[in-house]
Amino acid sequence: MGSEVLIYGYGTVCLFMVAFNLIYSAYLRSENKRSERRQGQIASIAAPGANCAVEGKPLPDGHSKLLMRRLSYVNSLVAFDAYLRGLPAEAAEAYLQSISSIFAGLARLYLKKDEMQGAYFCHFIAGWGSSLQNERERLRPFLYQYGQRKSLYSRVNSLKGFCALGDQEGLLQVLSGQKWTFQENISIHPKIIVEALLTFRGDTKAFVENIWARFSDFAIPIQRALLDYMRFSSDAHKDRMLEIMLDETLDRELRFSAIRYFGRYPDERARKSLLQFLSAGSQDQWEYMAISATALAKYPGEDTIHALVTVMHNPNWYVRHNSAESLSKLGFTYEDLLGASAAEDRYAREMLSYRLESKRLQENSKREMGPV
Amino acid sequence: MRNFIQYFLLCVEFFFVLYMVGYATFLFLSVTVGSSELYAAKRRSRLKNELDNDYFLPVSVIVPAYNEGVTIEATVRSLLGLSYRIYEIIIVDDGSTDDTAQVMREKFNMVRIDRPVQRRIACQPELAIYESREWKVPIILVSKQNGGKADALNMGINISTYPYFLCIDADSVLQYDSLDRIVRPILEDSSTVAVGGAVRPCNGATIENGHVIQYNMPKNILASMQVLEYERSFLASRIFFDKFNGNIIISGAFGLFRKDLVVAAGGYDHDTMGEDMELVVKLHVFCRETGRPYRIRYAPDAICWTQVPENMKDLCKQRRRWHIGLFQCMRKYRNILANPKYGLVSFVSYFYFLFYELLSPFIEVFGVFATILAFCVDLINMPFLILFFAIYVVYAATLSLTAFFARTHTVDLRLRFSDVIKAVELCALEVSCLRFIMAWVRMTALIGYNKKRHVWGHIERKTIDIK
Repeated sequence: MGSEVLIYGYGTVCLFMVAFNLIYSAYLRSENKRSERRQGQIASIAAPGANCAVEGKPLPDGHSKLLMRRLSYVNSLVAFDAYLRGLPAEAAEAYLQSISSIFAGLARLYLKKDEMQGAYFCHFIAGWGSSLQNERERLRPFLYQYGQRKSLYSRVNSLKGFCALGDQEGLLQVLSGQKWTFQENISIHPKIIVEALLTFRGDTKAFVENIWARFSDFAIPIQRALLDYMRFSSDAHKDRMLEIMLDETLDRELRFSAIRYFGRYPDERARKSLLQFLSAGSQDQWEYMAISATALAKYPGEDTIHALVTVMHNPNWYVRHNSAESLSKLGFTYEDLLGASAAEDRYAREMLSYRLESKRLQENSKREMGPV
Repeated sequence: MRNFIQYFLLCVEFFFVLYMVGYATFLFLSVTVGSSELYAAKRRSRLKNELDNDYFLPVSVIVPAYNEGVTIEATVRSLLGLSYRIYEIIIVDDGSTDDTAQVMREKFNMVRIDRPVQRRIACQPELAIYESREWKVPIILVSKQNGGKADALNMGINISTYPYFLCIDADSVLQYDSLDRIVRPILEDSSTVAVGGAVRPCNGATIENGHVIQYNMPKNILASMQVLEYERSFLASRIFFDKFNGNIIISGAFGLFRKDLVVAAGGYDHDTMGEDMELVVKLHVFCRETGRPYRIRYAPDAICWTQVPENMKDLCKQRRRWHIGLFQCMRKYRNILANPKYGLVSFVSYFYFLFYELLSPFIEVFGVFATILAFCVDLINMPFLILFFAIYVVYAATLSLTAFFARTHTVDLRLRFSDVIKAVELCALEVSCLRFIMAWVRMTALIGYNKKRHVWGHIERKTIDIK
């Protein structure tokens, strides 16, 4: 009897599975049609409003209310996004500006839905935020809440939403509110933060000033991302970066970031410190040596060449590798190599000659402009 | 005597009921969790809950090659067609006796270069290193003395420049977006130390510039059955294990690793045939012993297409090798079993691999002999046996199909009606015949283990048809 129950139990599971497969297959087959129908419905609702907005006329009565009711469903919001993308850019902008007041209400509604739908709402804002900048203050508290959710996509899309809205205040709030994520080990990768910040559509100069003013409010990994952002944005931060590079009390990752900054934007004030990092470091400081070796490629001069050739004897692979690369960028030649003290050291010689050969290969391929 | 046999068969029956309930439950859980995760991923993608920008982590792609002259050009060309931006391609020619190195040098205009090798992990010495900078990304060819696949991978790690490395087999083709997708789990969670991608049989698929433009069930029956087996056994179960950080295997055909951690753990082990599984288990042990937070993830949307054997001889060789590798790895890390320090890795993953992978051929073949014995002494209820077997076949076949359709639905592959019929027919054949043949092959794999433990066996290669 027991075995029979088991067998019939498994038989029932099979039946359910088969039924699931058939129903889901049919559902997927009809998905395109449903999506097209939904887009048609949204278009028929939105088009009169969009036409009015383009012509500068007031919206039809009840238009915003009807639209808001429909857009409270995520599938309709997806269809609305597709509809907007089908409009000329100016028409989409004019229409969004005319209905911008509904988005704070939608932001509140989507907070009550699951995190995936909330993240999509933020994605929508990130896509069309530049047309909704007059709503930034009303949207800020809601986007902040999305930015504090556990879902990574909710936090990333919230960040992008603030960038699209050009809302520096919201952006700084959401970044300083990320401290808890590091405790729970669910933080955003610095690369993602930097990429998002580079899309910021507000007053960049004021934003950067604000970052410096509140720099100590952020967790260290966020500070590191902000310094990387500075490195990709402009050469206007040399003074602050010099302070960070020289401040021995700061986290080493921040100081590394500052060294890299001076590798991108050379400044004579940094030369002495970079040379000190390169030559004075003990083996437990090899990262300072390796990073400053790379940075010194932008500081031509006898002192730089001498320091780089000297550290070619260093036992650390990365120090030798980066020094050799910088030497080749500074125009160090085979003849120079033969005359240098590094020629007596096999490891140094191999590394230097490899970098020089590699540079030659790269130059040849650039000249020939090979396939792909 | 009859009483003794009766008692023996009763015990066997009890054991098998427990064993089958365990397996059926695991299969059900893995397929339902795997399928629902695939459907959820599709929804996530539609609602843009994914990292769609250009976030690049530098990756070194390492391809160990031994006598791969037939396939190596297609493999490298497919790697050059990836949509990813920051990567390098490293081919490690492991002392091939064919023209692998020559094909590489001629087809990719490679130039010999005196490149120093940072020997962080022990491996056989290099004979020559070639580079080409004429392509989208640097291509490096290392010719070295033969030392086996693990040794070749260790050389690849030593010569790699970037902080993450990806290993792929030389007879595999990566889908154009596979590298973008396999790095996502690292961007999503920086404690991720390794990511496995989905390996799918390319027999029957038409691939153009890394895009699948047509997908059919392979014409070859054996390859078709493996398609179904891959979706059920590998895809579904790995998604299930991923739920609790319990994956203890990342296919050697497609896996991404954090280099500094692999180097700290000692790299690939030369002495096991299943070096891919060994490395992953080693990473679990290393991270848990050193108390560092870590995740080993599975990315089902990162796809690598590979040739599966189309004849029984090659399939047997492959499965024999896999089983010896599994045995070596399970034996080496036997202290994980029932060890609370390893949590679910011990009590679910290791337990599953021990009883339902390593020992399953012995148990299944024993079951067949017990059934024959019961039949001989007339202690078997034939109608019940037939019903039981039929339910087993229908159950396993249904779950295979569920996993297969979940995959095809979620990657928007359109199957012809004839392929659907073929899948339905062959999944029954796979669970009722191929599975038992493979059980026998795997069981006999360990016979003469000491003699055969380092013998890979040659598998016939075909040119991969990439347009």
